[in-house]
Amino acid sequence: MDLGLRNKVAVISGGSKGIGFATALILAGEGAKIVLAARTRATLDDAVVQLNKITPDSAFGVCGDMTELANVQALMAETHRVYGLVDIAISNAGALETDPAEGHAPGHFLQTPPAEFARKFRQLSLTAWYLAREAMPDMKAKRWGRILNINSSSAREPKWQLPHVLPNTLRPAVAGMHRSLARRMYQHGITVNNILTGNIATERWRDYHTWLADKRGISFDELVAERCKATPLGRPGTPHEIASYIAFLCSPLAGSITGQSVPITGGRSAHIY
Amino acid sequence: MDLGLTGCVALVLGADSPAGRYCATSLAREGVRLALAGADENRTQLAATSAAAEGQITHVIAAKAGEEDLGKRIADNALARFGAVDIVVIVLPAMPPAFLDEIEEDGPIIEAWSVLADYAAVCRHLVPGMQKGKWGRLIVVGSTEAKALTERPADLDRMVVLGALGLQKSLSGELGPFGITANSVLYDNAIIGSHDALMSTAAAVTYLASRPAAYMDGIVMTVEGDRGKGTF
Repeated sequence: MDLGLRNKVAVISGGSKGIGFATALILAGEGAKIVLAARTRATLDDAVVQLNKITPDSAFGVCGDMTELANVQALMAETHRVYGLVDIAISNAGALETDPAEGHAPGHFLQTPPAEFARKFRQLSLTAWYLAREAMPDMKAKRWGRILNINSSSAREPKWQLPHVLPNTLRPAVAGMHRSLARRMYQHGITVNNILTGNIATERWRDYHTWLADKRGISFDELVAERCKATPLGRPGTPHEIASYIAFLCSPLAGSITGQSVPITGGRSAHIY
Repeated sequence: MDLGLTGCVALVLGADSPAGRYCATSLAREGVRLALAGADENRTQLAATSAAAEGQITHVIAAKAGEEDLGKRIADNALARFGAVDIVVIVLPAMPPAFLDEIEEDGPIIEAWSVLADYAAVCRHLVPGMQKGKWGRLIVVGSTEAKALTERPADLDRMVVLGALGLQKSLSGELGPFGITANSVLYDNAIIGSHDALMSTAAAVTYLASRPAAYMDGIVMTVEGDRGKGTF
């Protein structure tokens, strides 16, 4: 399928690893210009080298923390200088950290201090908001744009039984934010969509499951098999599988698809629509 | 993006509709051979011509609604022509406008039910082949009327589409272990007449049929421009 993305300029925050990087690989393969943002210089540089092997001079990276508006603005300025106006903004920053000492995104409501709530709000919500806000003027000028956010299936089906009060609160909030943006931006030729991921075998997912298996005294494979029991496809998804859907949504072919939050969970989601 | 569909066979039910024609053409562009079924033979032939222009083999199957064992006959016909079917797409037909409380005879209800029954029969006959091959795609295309009540007399449409979505969800759960996914695409009636909306609908169907979409199962993709009201 010709996605019609040649020479489109795509900015991807959290783009050096996992779903962000898998998306960058597909978009680069489609001829897009890629700008990656990430916090760790070494990983970022390595990702850029891999992208430029696909098409020389098709990618560069900007190192920075996307919870700071000044860093997002610097990312945009550098993108303008090198490639011009932005066509596609993909927010993948702000994943909750895996903390081997305390577990994954720990915290029930009564255990979570306000300062932690505020910090996660910056990570999960503000990063997406800053990127969209700074990219929108470019897209309005071109009367074409794509804004996407890598969210979680917990936006729609919060995991209330786990100590995940922060993602349970913030993921749906971001989905609501993008739903509102979608309504306002469609008149400018800009679509806004959320990707609700579930059980995707990223590096972070492996780290977490390794830690959890260790904690429970079972093997990694046993844990994964247990976690996939309720998934019709019987396995975790791959970053590439999420990335291909993102690439599809970036395409002009998907111009009438906006405001959507589709769960990609291998069939595990309980609802009909 | 390589969708990995070259050489696959798709059966498109409702190929006589504009959405059916766009889906057929889009799939053909990816190298898919097509069996096309529709109640209106001329319009189904139009879809076949459009898909054949992409260089693919097409096969037209007449499908008059109400025929006994219609689903089985369509499935058998497609199997006889191609040997196997990898992808089934059904574009649900528009039902007669009606409010349920104003319907006096059961004819329209039975007609609506027969759409689901025919689709189920097609799946029943084609899924075993997909199970053997450990790969298959079942895709329903219908109207967004299913998701929200409107002032339109679309009660029958809503019933058929919701029934189909529920069936898809069950198929997803049952057939996922065989590498068979069951998904749906809903379009907004108000915009589906436009080329852009038809193109997005067909592209969504084609993407869901693809190999990279292997982890998308039991989902509904909605093509509604800025007309959607819900967050989910």
